[in-house]
Amino acid sequence: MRFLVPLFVTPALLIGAEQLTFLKDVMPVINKAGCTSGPCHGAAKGKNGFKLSLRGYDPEFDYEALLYDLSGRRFNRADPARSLMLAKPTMEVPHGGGLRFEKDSRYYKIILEWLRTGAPFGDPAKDKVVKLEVSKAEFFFDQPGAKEKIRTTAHYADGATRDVTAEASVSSNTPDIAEVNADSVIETKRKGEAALLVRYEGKFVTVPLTVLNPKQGFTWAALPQYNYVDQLIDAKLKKLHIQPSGLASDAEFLRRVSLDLVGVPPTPKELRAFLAEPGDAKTKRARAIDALMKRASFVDHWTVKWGDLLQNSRRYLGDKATWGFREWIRDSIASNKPYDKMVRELLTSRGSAYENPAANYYRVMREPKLSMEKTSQVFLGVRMVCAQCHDHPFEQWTQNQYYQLSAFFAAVGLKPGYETGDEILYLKRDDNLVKHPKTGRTVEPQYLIASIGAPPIPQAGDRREALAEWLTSKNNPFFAKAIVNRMWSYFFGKGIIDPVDDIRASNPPVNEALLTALTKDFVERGFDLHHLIRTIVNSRAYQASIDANEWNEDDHINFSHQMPRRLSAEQLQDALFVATGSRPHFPEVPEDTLAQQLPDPHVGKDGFLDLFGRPQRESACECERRTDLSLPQALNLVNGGDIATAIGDPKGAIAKLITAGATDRQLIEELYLGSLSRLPSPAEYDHAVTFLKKGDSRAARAQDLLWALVNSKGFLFNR
Amino acid sequence: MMRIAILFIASLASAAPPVLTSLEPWGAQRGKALTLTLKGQYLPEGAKIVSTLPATFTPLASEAPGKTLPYLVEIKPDTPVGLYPVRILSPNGVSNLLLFSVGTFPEMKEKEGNDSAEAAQKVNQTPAIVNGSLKAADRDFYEVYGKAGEKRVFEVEARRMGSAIDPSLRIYDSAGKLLSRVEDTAGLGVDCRVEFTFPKEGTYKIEVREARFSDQASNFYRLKMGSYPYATAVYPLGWNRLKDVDVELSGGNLPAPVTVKPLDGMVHLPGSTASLPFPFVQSDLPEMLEPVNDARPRFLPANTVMNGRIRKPGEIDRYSFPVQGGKTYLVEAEARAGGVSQLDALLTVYGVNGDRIESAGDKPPKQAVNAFIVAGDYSRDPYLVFEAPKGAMQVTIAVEDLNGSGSAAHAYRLIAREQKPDFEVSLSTPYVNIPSGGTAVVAVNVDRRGYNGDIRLTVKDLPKDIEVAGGTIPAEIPDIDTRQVSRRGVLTLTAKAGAPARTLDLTVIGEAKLEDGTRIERKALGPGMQTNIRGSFGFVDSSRRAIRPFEAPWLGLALPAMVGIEPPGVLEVKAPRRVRIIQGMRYDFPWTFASKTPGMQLPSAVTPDTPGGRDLRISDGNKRQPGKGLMTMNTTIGTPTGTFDVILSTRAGMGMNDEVVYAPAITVDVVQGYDVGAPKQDGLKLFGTIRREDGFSAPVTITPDALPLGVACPPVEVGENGTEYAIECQASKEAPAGEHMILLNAASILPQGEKGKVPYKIAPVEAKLRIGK
Repeated sequence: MRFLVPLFVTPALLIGAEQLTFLKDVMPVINKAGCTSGPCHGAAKGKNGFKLSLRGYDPEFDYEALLYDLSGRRFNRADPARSLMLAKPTMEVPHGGGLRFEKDSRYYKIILEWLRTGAPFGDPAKDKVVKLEVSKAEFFFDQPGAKEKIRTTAHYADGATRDVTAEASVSSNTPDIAEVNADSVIETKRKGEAALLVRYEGKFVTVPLTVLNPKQGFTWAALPQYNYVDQLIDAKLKKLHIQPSGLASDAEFLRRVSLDLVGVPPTPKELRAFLAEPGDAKTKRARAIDALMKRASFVDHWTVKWGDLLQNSRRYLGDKATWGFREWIRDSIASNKPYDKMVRELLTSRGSAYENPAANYYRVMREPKLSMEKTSQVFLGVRMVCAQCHDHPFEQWTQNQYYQLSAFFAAVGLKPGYETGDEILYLKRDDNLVKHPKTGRTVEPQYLIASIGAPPIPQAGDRREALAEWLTSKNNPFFAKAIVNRMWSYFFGKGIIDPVDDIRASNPPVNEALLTALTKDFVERGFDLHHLIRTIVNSRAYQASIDANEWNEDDHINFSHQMPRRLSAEQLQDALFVATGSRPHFPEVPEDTLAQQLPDPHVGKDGFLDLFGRPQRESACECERRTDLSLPQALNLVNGGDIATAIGDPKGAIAKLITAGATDRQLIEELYLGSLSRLPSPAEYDHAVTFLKKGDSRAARAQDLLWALVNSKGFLFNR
Repeated sequence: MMRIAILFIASLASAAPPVLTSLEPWGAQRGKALTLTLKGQYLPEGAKIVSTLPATFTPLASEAPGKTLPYLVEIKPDTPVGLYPVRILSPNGVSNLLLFSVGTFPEMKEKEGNDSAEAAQKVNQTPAIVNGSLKAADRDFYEVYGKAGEKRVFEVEARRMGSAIDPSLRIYDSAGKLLSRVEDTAGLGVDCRVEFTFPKEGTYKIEVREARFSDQASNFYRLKMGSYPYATAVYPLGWNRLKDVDVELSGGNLPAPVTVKPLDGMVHLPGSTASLPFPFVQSDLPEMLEPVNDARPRFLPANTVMNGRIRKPGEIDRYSFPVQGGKTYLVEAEARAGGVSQLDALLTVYGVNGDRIESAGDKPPKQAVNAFIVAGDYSRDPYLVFEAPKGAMQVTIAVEDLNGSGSAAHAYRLIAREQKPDFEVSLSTPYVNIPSGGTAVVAVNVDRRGYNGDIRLTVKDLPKDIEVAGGTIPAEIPDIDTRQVSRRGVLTLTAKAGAPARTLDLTVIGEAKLEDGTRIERKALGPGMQTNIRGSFGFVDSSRRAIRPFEAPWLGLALPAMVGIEPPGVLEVKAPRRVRIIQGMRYDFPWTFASKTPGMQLPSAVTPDTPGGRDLRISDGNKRQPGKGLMTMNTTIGTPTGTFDVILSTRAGMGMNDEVVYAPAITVDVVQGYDVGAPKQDGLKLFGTIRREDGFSAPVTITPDALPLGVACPPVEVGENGTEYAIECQASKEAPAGEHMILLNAASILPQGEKGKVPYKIAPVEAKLRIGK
């Protein structure tokens, strides 16, 4: 670090009689002026030969660039006012970035004065921002249209404070609810919730913002609360004047919980039995939940989810190891292995991938940085990828931390096994270090954040043991929270933090208290995933109807009612089996294999499942699984061979019902129960009876009826 | 000493050499009689059975002549449990070999339709062995009855017997709950075994399936069920074949280790156990046992096998080994790749100061070019080559498990010796049928251990009526960029017309001559038998899909052979057995096919195989006529000089039963068109000779280069067919006196180049130029 010795001394124009420094005064100006932004000099290769760190995350680098690059041509020591770093942003000379500030502006004066007084860098012990404080911990507006300024105060290392409102960057994560202008004035647009991200000199603060429904006449109608989930959701809803919806019907509930727990809707027989069961809804639903969680299909369904996350695919592992890894996942779920233990086994796996299937975890990524990125994304919900090239722009993670965490995986080696297709995971004795791309120096492993009880990191040997212990610790603020949030999303369609694998300060939970309570409960129960699932699905919130009321119809994030979710590819395929009685046929697996029992995306490739969004397991991101609707999907449903084959199966439901002489009522009810998991309404029944009687062939009409049912929203969506 | 049971009955001719595809059943209980049906193709009545199985074979009438050979087999009651090779000899040739399993339990057959738990086949009594098969995504279920606390062993013999399936076993209770699942079991390769304790009295379902539901041609298995002892650890893994040793069997469900003597290359648990024996290595070297509980430093003599084991996790065995500084040594371990030991060996050599000199087992060996070529290769036991540091008198060799494991089953054999360039050869042909008047091929693989030169393959003590040709394995230049290796050779064996039918036991030898003139001769080990295994699917990298075939080298067979019937036709190549091709030029190989079978459709194309040949372009001519043609081999300037073989083959037959017919190998020497000899000097005149290959007549221009200051030597052109050159140099006063090394650059053209004339340069020739004072 070179420090500039001033050539001459002039009386300084000081802000508050302080010496202006680069760190405290100039950096905020060039950040606010946009010089360090991604489209400008903060770009990977800079702009026009001038590179600054993205959003100023590296002040030392920026200082060197401004004052010393190109023989210091950007700084005119003899006549500071003629320095390029002033001439360019004021357009005194052509500047591709345009006018950034005026010549008589405050920013201009700051930079000029700083140059005149020797352009000192500053003392990090004094000039570094250690904390930000905003004018309110939470912003609450009674109605849209309200405005309020948000003030930001920076706290420095030496205890000083400064109002940095003008230079702080404030943005809203939901601009259609609330926007923030360049003067830090919040302007609310419509009812809802948003989070404001306040950034200044590498520090962040997230501030929740709520705009209430302006409609008058809200009266809270308390509903039964089945457990603490309902208590915490209701607490927030009440505050926001959002009335939760009532319970879904028994039939709706059973279909939903069957799809969510075991991946297939209930059969007509199961549905009839459940509907006929006596008892109050809460108790009988709890019984149904317990029964579903004991089924083999429960294990199959969750094996698919973990197969997606762990990228179990013969593309990377070969077919034998894919089956083996699936069995390991399956066994872990079937035995309700504590989640922390399951993750530890994966992270510390060694040996032959055939004999120790957990070792397949490392065969996908194969190198330290990718292993780290996947581990942090899947198990901590943290996306570190942005920090590979620079400090994370919106989070506290630095580039150094990226490589420090990667260093835990540096010694992982893979060599061919003794059977073709197998690989052996071992610890390398050579070439087992990570080097920082800027300095070329070895980076020692270090935990992402300190947590209580984190074990010391050994100098040599298998550091993954220490990593596993830190990562799976109950004191790790991300580990338990990440899985709780992820599991929540499987039952509600979105997480309490969403996206689920992007936990960061600028992406706060919609209900912090709920997430905290669930996390605490999960940890106290020994990372018991079954207990977590039971807690969620036994809540009233989970069992709520999708029908909204006037007070919650615009709420999509606070779980005041359930939201319809399109069936996943495997659910759709297997639901067709329940509806039509026709088994799907997959090559290379036993005849009775359902879609959710397939080991990986290779089986049935490019067919129905891929059309409906089955992930190829090329990424650990939940986003790889698609649940949107597309034209090819619609065409397949309306006119495709898969549906035609299923409905026309000689061993299928319609053939059996017709040949058994089923009456119209029996036929119609079975088709409705099998496809929509409910009985037809009287109007639907009458209409169906009339339909069946039209034309020559009752059987053909029955097929058409079923075809219509499986094309309906009631079938395609989990409601 | 192998006991061979041969049953000879008057033979009848059939179309082609016999091929066995299956046995029914694949095994039997000793002391019992059974009907054994050999199935395959071209199985004539009266064929000889060749087997070491202690049994009598009485032929029965076949219901499908040519496709089955049934025998009444009576197995002696004291037959050791194990696997016995079975093959047949017919006048047409010798068949491939299959393995027949002898056990101690009653045998039964699978009844198809047992592909669900509900339809499980009842096994009313155990112990029992079920002979079954799995086709693709098939699953076989069996129902057994067990009492609470009862222990029973369930074991699947499949791959060990040469089946291509990779079995997996599951046990369910009567409610369908999975109680046990087992895949590859240590010491059994990919076969599986579990000793299961029934938690309560009742029926249980046993499921056998293929681990990846692959569809294999050879898909049989034997499910063994009963209470019997089995071991999982053997120590030592081998011994000198002429010496006595006690072998310890332990682990498994043995209450205590058991000591046995090896028998015929196997170690058996004593008593009437149903366990298959373990293979036991028999060597010709001195052998030692690792000193245990001995405080003295362990010493490893050169050329002596040290048998040791890593008894507990984290253990490292260290041996001091005497060396001479500057010399090169080889250290190798035998462990896991043998299929018995669980040790994934890591070898490390340390200097006297504890500095690491070299290691193996944690990375591919430097010597193995295929380390970076074949991504999907499999690991073999490690070996390393190191140079002893200057002044060193000893090093320490450490043996440990790569992942720090250890147990009684982690045994190893360690040997260290001074390394000279060496290689190993192995056959990839398990047996060969040589048509009388025709040609067969034998493929050989080489594992180069520091020797990269030419290797010549030959057959020892070949009868006079059989000729050998080919067998050239050119030198290898390890090159990461081109990734080309030379590790395969092909021999052709041609029996003269009229050669009588008979069996032979051939020995293939690889010979080489080192730079110091030493000759090496290595015998090729035979694979015994081969079962192809359909590959692994899905890998993006296609090189990882192939699965190496099952082989049984423990059978100790070299190359069983038979001179059989005449081939369907004879493929003849009108070219000498050895030809020379000038770099950049072409050679024509006219061929003809003479049919010996009336009505046969004559082939109109041949397929060349050029093991070791590089940068060749082969075409079979534009005109295709039945029964004859022209194969042209084009070389380029980039084709390296050297020797390789060309083996032509074609398919011929009566449509459905085409056979491959080979022509004897032709050895090709690719040579430079010309050489420039080092010149002599007379005054300032340099003169010398140009050696030309026959057929190379083009002018040669010689341009002197790297001349000292003040010296001028003009280029000279030697005209067509010219063989002498003279260069008149001139030296000015400034030219330094003395002897100078100059270069003579020679250039010519290829008259048969693609574009008419292609420049053809050879490596410069060094010459001395003396300048007087």
